Amino acid sequence: MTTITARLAAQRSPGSRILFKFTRIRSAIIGLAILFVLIASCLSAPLLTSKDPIAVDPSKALRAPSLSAPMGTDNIGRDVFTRFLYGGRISLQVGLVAVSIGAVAGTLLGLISGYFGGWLDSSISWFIDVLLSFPDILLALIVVAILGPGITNAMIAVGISFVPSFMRLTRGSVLQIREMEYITAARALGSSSAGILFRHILPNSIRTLLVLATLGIGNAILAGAALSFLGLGGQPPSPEWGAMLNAGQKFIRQGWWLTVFPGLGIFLTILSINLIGDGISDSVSASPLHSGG
Amino acid sequence: MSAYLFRRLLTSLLVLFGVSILVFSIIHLVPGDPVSAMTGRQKVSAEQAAELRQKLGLNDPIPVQYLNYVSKVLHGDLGQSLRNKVPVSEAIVEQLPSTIQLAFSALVLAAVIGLILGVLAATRQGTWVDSLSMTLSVSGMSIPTFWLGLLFIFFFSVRLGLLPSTSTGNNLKSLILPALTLGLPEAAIISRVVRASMLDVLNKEYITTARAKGLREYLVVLRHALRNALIPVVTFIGLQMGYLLAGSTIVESIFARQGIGRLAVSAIAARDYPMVQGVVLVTATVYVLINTMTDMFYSVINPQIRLK
Repeated sequence: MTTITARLAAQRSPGSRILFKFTRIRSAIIGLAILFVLIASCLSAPLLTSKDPIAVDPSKALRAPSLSAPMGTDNIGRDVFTRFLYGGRISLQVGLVAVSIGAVAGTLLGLISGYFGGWLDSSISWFIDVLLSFPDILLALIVVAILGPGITNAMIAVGISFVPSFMRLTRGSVLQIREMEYITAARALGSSSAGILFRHILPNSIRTLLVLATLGIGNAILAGAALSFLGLGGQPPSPEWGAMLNAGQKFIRQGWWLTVFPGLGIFLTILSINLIGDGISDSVSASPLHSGG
Repeated sequence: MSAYLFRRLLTSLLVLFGVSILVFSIIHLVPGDPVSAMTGRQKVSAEQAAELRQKLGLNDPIPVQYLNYVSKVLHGDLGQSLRNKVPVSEAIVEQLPSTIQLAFSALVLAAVIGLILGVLAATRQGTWVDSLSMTLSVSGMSIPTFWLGLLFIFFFSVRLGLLPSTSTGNNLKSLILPALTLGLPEAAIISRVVRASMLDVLNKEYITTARAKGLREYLVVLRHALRNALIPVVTFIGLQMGYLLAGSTIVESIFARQGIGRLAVSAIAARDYPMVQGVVLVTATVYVLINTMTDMFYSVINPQIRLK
């Protein structure tokens, strides 16, 4: 049975061959399942809990996990499970928005840099080198220092720190594609630079860009949560996971559940995205298309 | 050889030039007037604002301000903290040793654990040892440092009472948890690089030769494979030093430890812009220098790079 499906898979397009390999990697499927459960439960938060994530009830402060409150309550009696679900929505949003900012800005810069070359390329590349000289969180910290603390600014800050990787990837693939015959043909037919860039070059690099974006979401969630943990991102009473950890660490002696669950949420999200990422790179490198590299 | 090194140095100088522009711009990029951004919610009279403006040289044209800034920085003057009026350079010099101690201990820890895990995984490829170390590795890469630190505090300080949860002074015992927190995720990444590099080398013909001549397996691994596999690993570890410096920001906050990371975070929260500028400038410069030295070292041990 498996040999038949394998043979069938071999006849399909390279894309579906990669997909087929991917489904054979157990850890990648586990990652996909964890991610699905996390996203689904956060999105259906109002169905899973009837409580309010910021409703205070001091009479129920610091209760350990129980049937009525599966993740316990915090120091002012808010339900941690409810906050976890709603906080997950914010964290996912941070990941998506930040990566989108980085992807759009980085891709545009990469397209311009790679296509036009010359002094434009040199100055954009120099700018990117300068951005890269600030390790990870430092760049985000600078942006927050300029814009001020807050969840929106944290998204922008994390987004900007994603610009270099998208710029470099796009620039690289533009340099490759630019010299191909169909681009020369398009130019000969009188296509404008913008037309060539967006109609011919961008669609050809979109697949790698999407992979980079998907994998980036995990890191973006992590960076956003780190800023919130430092008190520079989501502000109280926001249930953003990093902000929950920041508030919960003061009560680590009285209630372990305040630090364990929000952190577990971040960990599982990033773990699942990393497992999926490994699966993708394993299945891409195992596919006949890339066997030479 | 010297042509490559010259080009590499030139790139670094250009990057440092860009870094100085960016750091200089921080105060001008803050929405609104730089003076009101620096005074924050404090009430200041018009005269006081004018005085501050004059004192900070904000009346000069921007390029003049930039040149003044650079010449001051080159003389070691990073300005004065707005909060407690201390010279920024003094505050940084005071905090830097603590951060370097933390980053360096974490790096040593990460290198040792990463090497052991990576070599074990590569030499037992496909066995349960390999799966276990790679599972540990992917988990280590996914764990947020701030959560790992809190879990350590919970287990080792709150539950077992073995190690202190805050890290003050030069107490070596109080360095253990912060160094583990910063080092373990790094060890996870290093173990992957080691494994990949070892697998690459173990497939080489000279390894087959070494085995064929009857050399014991552990000697093959240690003397022939590991030595060659280490070249990319050493470079990689060098490049990670900068990330550890930046990562100390979070670890220092968790363990209430002294250091420039914590200095940066408190300066940002207090809108102490000269302090923010100083810390960012110093960290980025150190990072650029480390990367430049790592690249140069790599070019010396790997001639292929120089020919590109």
